[in-house]
Amino acid sequence: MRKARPVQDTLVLLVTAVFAAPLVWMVLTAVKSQADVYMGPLWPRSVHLENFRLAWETAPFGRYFLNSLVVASVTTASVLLTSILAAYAFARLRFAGRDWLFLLALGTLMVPGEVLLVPNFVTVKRLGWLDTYAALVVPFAASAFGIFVLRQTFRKLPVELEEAMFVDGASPWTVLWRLYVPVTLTSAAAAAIFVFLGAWNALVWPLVVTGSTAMRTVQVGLASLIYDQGYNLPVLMAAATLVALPVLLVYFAFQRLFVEAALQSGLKS
Amino acid sequence: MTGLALVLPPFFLLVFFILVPAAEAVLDTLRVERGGQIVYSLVRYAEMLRTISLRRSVVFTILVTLASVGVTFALAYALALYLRFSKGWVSTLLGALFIIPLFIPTVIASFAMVTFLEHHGYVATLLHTIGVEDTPSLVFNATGIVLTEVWASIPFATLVLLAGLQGIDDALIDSARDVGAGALRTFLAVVLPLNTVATVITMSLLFIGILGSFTIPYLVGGNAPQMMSVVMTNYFTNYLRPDISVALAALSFVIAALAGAAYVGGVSHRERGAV
Repeated sequence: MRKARPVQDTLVLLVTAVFAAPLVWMVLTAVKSQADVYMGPLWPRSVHLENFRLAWETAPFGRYFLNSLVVASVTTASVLLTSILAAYAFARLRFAGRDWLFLLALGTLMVPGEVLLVPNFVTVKRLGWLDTYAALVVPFAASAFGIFVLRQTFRKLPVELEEAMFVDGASPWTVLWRLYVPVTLTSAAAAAIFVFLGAWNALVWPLVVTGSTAMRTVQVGLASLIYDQGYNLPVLMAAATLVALPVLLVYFAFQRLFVEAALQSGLKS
Repeated sequence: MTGLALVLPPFFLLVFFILVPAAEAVLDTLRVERGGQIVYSLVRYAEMLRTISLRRSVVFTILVTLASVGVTFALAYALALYLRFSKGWVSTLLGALFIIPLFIPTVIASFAMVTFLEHHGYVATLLHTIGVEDTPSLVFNATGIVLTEVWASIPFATLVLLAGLQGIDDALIDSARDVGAGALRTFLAVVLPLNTVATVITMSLLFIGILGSFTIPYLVGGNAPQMMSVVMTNYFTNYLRPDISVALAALSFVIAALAGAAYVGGVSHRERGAV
């Protein structure tokens, strides 16, 4: 039986409240009247669900959601594919310069985004990709983080399994897709979740490379709404709730799986 | 040959969209026109370091980043230890909610922090009700940036540390307890040394992430001094000095590279241990 530890538990509950506070504040503000936001209590005196309708009507959020979904899904699929291929090669195949290439790939993790913003904008413009899905997806279609996480997982598998398949005449390609990929689905799921979240929550790059309303993602739409409706915090927070809701629902539906996937992935020492 | 063929597609993308632009940006900061000819010089860096506000920004950025990393690391380690070794509903609840910051857009989290921490915000009101009249300024300064960065960074740090802690065999901890080691001694003598690589990786990634963050310092920070990312944007868009902006970015890259060296060292150390 668990020992009662009231002080420790109270502290942990306080910490938990701190994590949840901005989310709670966002939802409560979304259903308040504008007068209540600044002068009223934390808890709304009356519920104003029309804020959600106003937020939805103020900007084309349906289009923003579609764009974000396309960008985040295609980016995630591309990162998974490229990471699986590279991780297998780095973990199990021998070729000239393997370790140097891996360290160089890891080195890309330390390059701050600001250094890349201007040169990549120029590149994307030269390629004629401004205001297209290509500009939003291709620069992020490979990830050193994904390669690293999957490589660590591949290295944990006993080499004997692979050798047995080679003895039976399998090619490296068959070994990869029949052996490695199926047993590393958990790590792939963890990497996929982080990549999807990164793409879904990206703001600065989509803001720079998209100009038309039709190509905006939800985060850019939200940022634009701050300029248009910044004075109307309830409508802004209703929009923010709509933006955060899909990923939050997915998280709470698969919360145990998400944490387990992250913990069982190559992040484990 | 097969190995190289599998590595090349992602490697090409990483080189084309990260390594080449980064190198190009740094080279651009070194190119100066003198007498109609392009020469390489450190003149922009000299100008940057002569400018007092930029020097202050660099120091401010490093201090805020170090403070954020330190606080995040301490809290994330405490959370990871609690989640690893505690059972019960409180632990389950914490396990479900500590990830939430990953799902909240940074812009909204920053808005929320401003509302909580501003002079007449919820925190000030709460402190007022328990008798604290003079609340220190908690937002639009370094404190606000640190608090928001900590809130936003804890989930990832906790996950990496927790993953490391889960790799430690329970038998080792039980053995330490069997020979009379208390909780602190067990942590210092067993848990911490066995989790060194996760510790180094967490701290390096936190440092690089916070050093380069823009949205939080932009929305929660003050007017002066500002973090380097905000100053870079100002020089690029408002002062029309992209050269200084990129020089600052290059300096930020050098600082991040020092943390990155620790990260790569940590990974290499793990590789050697795995062989």
